[in-house]
Amino acid sequence: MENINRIEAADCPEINFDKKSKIFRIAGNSYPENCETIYEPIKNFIENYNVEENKILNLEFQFNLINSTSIVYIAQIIMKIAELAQKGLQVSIKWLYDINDEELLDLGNKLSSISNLPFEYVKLKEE
Amino acid sequence: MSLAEEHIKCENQILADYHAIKESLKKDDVIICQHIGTFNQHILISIISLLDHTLVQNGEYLSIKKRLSYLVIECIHNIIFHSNITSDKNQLAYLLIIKNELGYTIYASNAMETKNIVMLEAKINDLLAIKKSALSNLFKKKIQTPEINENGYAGLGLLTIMDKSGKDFNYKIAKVSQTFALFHLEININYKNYQ
Repeated sequence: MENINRIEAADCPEINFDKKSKIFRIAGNSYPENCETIYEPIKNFIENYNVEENKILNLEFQFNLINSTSIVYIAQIIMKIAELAQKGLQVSIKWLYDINDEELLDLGNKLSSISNLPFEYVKLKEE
Repeated sequence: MSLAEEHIKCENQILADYHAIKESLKKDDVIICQHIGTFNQHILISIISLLDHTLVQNGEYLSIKKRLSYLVIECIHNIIFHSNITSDKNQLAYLLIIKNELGYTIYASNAMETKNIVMLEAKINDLLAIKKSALSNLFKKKIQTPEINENGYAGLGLLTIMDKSGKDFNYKIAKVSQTFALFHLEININYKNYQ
């Protein structure tokens, strides 16, 4: 299970999955041409997450713009996390969004609903 | 007619349509962005950046800014993934974003193969038959059982466009030659829905 660190680009989010610091964070825009290259490593990371060794998973999402295909990949990642939660993993998901961005709030609600995982919604003040 | 001649006919038609839209604009309409020809991810990034800058300068609501950006991303990805490519590797497509008295209008058009017309029309008609309020739930259902193609693309662009535009859009599929047709989309983002 390798760490994943990806620097933010105009169309790709910053990704920080660090086992040691226990930071699992995806933040920024997500509308890449090929979502698979961005999100497959995260799916693999989650699939290989050792629930026996790591009982807790704290995840933070802070999107700005996100396209429909990215949403599909994020849904797949969250559903994999939900499977681990059923095996005893304690999951905490923070969903950060701009205070006036109801679309992102709605997306968080959808993802929480399909995975049956509670999200903590954090409103951010608009810059 | 050879394939090369069909390409030229298609190119001429898309140019004529593009200029017809520009000529039909009202005096106070403002072109926010226009691009004709080949689209790729770099052009998408530039258009989103330009759009963001312009809308911030215009003091637009965040909700309008976001909605417009989401729609433009889906329109351009639709062009990148589905538009027909000419023999010299160029795309036949355009995108125009207009600010008008009611809000904003996105015009997008791309060449497609006539053999795909029936499939596209069936897909659009299926989505049009769904109530506006049910589109969001359909999206929720689709993201749980996606069909991702070999390019890593989930194919939810049209559904997203319908959902995010609140079905405030017009479309037209015009056959240009035996092999090619043009798929036009006109999407409206009306101020009255955001205040």
